[in-house]
Amino acid sequence: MILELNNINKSFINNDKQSFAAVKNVNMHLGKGECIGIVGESGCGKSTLARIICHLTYVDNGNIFFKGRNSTRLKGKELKDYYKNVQMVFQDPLSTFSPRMKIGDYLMEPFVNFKIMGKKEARKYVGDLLENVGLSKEYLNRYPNELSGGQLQRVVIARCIGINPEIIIFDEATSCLDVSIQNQILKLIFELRQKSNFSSIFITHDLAIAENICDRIYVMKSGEIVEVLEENNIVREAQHPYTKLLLESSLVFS
Amino acid sequence: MMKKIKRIFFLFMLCLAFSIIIFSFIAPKFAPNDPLVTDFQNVLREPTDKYPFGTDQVGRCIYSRILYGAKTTLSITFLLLGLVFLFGLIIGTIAGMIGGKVDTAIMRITDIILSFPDMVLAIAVVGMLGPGLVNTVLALSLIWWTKYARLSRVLVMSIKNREYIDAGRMAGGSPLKLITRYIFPNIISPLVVQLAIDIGSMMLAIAGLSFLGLGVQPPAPEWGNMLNEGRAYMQTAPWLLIYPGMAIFIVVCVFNVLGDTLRDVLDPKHI
Repeated sequence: MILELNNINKSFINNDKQSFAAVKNVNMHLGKGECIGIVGESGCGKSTLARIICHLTYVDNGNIFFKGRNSTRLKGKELKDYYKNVQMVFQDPLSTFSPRMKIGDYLMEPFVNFKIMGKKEARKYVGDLLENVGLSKEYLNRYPNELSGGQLQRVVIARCIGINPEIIIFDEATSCLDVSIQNQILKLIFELRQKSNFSSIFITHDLAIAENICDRIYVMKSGEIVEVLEENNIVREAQHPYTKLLLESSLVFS
Repeated sequence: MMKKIKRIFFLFMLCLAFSIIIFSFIAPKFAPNDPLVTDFQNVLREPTDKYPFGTDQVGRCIYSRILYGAKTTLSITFLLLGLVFLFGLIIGTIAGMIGGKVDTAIMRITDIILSFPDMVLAIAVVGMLGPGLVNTVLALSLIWWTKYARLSRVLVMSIKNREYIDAGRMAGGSPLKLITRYIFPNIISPLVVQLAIDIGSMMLAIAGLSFLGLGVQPPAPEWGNMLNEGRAYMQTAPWLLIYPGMAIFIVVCVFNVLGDTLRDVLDPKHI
């Protein structure tokens, strides 16, 4: 077991000073090399959950166990070590990049910050990383706005893979891209997974994608997990009316 | 096309501004006379060959005094702006990043300072501390830092929750590194524009305080000071006022236009 979430709760206070629960009593576990999916409509709390796992949002209560160690509240060096092992691919590729930072500098950041290698070595290494995801080394000196969404998402994935983490979270990683690019990115993720065997959490609103690549699917609705699907044929397995609703809505379009 | 014209115009203004700055430092070499030496045989003389801009009430060469004054005015302006910019940026960033009570406290302090009419507050401060260059700098920076603190606070707050900051955090960046590598580069252009626009107003503020007799003290040449000393002779010897007034006008104009064009060049939305 590499990651375990125990009774995670998180609520936010909205403009009317009312507390509103974004994540309620979520339990989840992720084994080594597994890929789990979190599926639900917009606003169901799946992104909040991803941010909680990444320590970008703190939990109100509940515990996060990483490799058996309680990692609910981490600070300083511990958090840095945690980030060496947990990385996230964000939804909107363009907003993941600082507009005034070149692609090369973006890629080098973690390797220099984590003191994995020196600047010169890192520069060479990130060039190779780019080629791994099918982009040429020339892009190192470009600014993010000169690249397309699909290319940027490749750069993000390249950096995540380069750190060699235990877990990569894909938070709607393909939903900002058009359909053909979506497939390329999914294929890329699939190939890389076979090469380096990281565990992944795939967050999406599309049950069809999740069904294709995930070992286990958690269906979320208004902050709660309403159903866990373990088999491959979710159409037959789905019990909860909400899951059926989701399935129907995706079937209409495909 | 419009964009290109604006760029060329901006480069032209930039060259002009730089030449003014450089010129102000080498200007004393061009001065035909000592700006402090009085010549009682040539008091309030109209412009002549020896005194291109005429002489003042004690017979000092106005042309030389303007050339020497450029350095005083410009160096105080840049020193002051540098000071308030740095201080405001640091305080504003702290307020924006930490938020909560620290933010509220800092913002209330700026509110208090901003609620005074700025020139009156400066006069009061200089009046209390006594006239002089150091006190002028102190009084003006006491007021002006609030402007940069507020601006940088708002800018920091507007980008501190962006995803790229989170991405930077996940890449192991320490808070200081996040600020210097992610936040500053993305908020610096509006701040620089503000800085360029403020050069003109700052010069006027310094000249204004000197005009009131609180800033640079006579006999040191300074443009505002020269206006003050020449005030009594406005009707009989207008060159005492016209030339220093023109100098202030031209330099302030150049820096104001530079600030405006800089905003157009740096912010793509304005083109």
